[in-house]
Amino acid sequence: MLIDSRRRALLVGTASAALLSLIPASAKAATRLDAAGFLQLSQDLADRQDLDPDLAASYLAAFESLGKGEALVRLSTMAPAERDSQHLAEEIVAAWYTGTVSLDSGQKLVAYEDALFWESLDYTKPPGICSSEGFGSWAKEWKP
Amino acid sequence: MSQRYDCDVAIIGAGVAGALVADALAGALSVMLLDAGPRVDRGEAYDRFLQAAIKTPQAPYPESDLYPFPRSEKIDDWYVQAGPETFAATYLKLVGGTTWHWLGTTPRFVPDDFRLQSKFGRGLDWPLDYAALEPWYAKAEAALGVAGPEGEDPLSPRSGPYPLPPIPLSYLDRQLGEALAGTPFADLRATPQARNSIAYRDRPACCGSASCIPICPIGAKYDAALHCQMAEAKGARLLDRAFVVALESGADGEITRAKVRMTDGDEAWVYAKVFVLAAHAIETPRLLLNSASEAFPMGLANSSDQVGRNLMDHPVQLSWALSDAPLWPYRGPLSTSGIETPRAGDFRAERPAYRIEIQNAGWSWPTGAPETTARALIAQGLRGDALDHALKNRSARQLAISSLTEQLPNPENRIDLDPALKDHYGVPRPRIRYAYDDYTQAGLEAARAAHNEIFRHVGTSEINHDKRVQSAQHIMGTLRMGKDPALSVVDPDLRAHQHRNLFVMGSAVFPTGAVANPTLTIAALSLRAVDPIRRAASG
Repeated sequence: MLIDSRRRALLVGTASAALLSLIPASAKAATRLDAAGFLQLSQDLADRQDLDPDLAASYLAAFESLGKGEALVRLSTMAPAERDSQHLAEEIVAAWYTGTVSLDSGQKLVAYEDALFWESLDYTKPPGICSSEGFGSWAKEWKP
Repeated sequence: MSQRYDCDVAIIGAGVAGALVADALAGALSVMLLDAGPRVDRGEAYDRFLQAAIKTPQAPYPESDLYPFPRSEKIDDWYVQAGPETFAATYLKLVGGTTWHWLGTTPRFVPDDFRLQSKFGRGLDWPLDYAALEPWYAKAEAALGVAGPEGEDPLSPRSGPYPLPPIPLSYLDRQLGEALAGTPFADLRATPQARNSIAYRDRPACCGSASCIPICPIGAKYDAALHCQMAEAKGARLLDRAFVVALESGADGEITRAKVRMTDGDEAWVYAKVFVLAAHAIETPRLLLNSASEAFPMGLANSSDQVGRNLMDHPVQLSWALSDAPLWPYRGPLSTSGIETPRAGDFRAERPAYRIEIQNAGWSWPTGAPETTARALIAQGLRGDALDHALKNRSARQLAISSLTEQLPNPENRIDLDPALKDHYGVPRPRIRYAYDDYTQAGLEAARAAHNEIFRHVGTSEINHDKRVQSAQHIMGTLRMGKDPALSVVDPDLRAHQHRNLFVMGSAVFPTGAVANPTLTIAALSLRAVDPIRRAASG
């Protein structure tokens, strides 16, 4: 995995698991990862720094609505080695790429056109959106 | 409260068949067009599509117990499956019918499709031949706005050109065409399709949205809401959210009135000189069976006991592979070419015809790509630029092809009324018995071999053949047409043998299913039936 080690260190330094363990369980349950925290977590997990803050808030809300609020807080406090192997960590990256949060507890569409995999598939666009080149564009070989 | 309506012709079902007939008769006759489902606002449907987490074919369309129809992700909520196979073909209840989410593919039948028994000793012959239907195919192509290749069609002789110039082959099509030159699959050609290649009858040219299924955002693909509007403009009265529960008849077989339940709870009665049933191949037999009376204890039009029998689909072999070279799929209409050669030949005595459809949408049908591709690469641990590159590289090489095979009519494959389970209106839900025979299995096997050959010539790895038999979503055969009242439900004019003023439209009347996507043949038969309906209403 290609996660920048400096950012890993930063994350561990700012919200250490050791510190959180001193807080009573009831207070921990009320703790909530804010949008900025989720954005940072997402950027670390996805290894890209260009994620959209507004979308981060929407993805965070979707994960929380599917019952993952506390799990996100825990994830954000883990050491990178432990964190990156968590299923939830993978799901965060998958959500950004597919635009959909997909968990056992449910599925929520957060973004359609803004799902990151359409950036990767830069030779096309999502179904339902007209091609910017219009009629017959599909006949051409794609060239960057 | 109960409302009474009177008209010359009552058409039940506002899909392509009912809408075309309504449009042809409106003006000269008083026409009512009823549909169990609501009108569709394209913009609202499009928004529902964008917002749906899982973009099934039904995702853009409203869901209600008041007009239930099968939804792909929970098909057993509507069909009562009596096995052994699961019947997975769906339809919509909407004004405009299932053409809202059809692909738009409009091949004609080939002449041998009408004489399967006399030529190959299989199934049965149609009571009419290709030559009799040819002029109506031409009219249907004009009505739907079919774009097709120039020049002669080697399989289905034409009296004139297609009304619209062809939809261009995709880059992917052309790469396959080049790779298959000199092979038995060399005749890869542009598919005739009811999709505008130029502006035609107030609809724009295709913009390449690549969402023909489940919705065309701009109406470049034909849907029957168009002919519903045209019929209304000529004076036809369209009643949506109006479910016909049963037809009533006199002892002489004359249909007198239709009992209608409106979704708002009201009841209505429609009186007409002629009734035209166009509610597709599950709902029309369901209605006839539910209309059983003392005079007609087996249901209406059912003295042959053929109502609901001979249910057919086009069982599909779906295969996919990773091309060595990029093909740049996920662009353009979902399919723009096919290989039609295996639709004709003496082999049909031993195994079915099939039609190879080249998919433009990568692995979206078989695997749910590109979403699943992204998830798989993420699960492998790829991130950042490496993930971007892998996603693009892999998706650009995803190739899928599908073959629709011919399924012979089998009286044991049937829809009838479930004895226990009922819908909101107390009408029994459709119970379906469905199986594949050895003939179909031989066709699927032949298709797999053909797909392997094609993949080999193209240059691919990771070849997969779907182990499930996929549905082409083509429901056919449950009210077969024939000359003999003892063996069929309707005559070649689509009039019920038993009821002078009852007509049946749609693929339900197909004696055999061939492998052509059925909509154009539905349209041609419906237009051909207009004069007999008019005469019956005037007589």
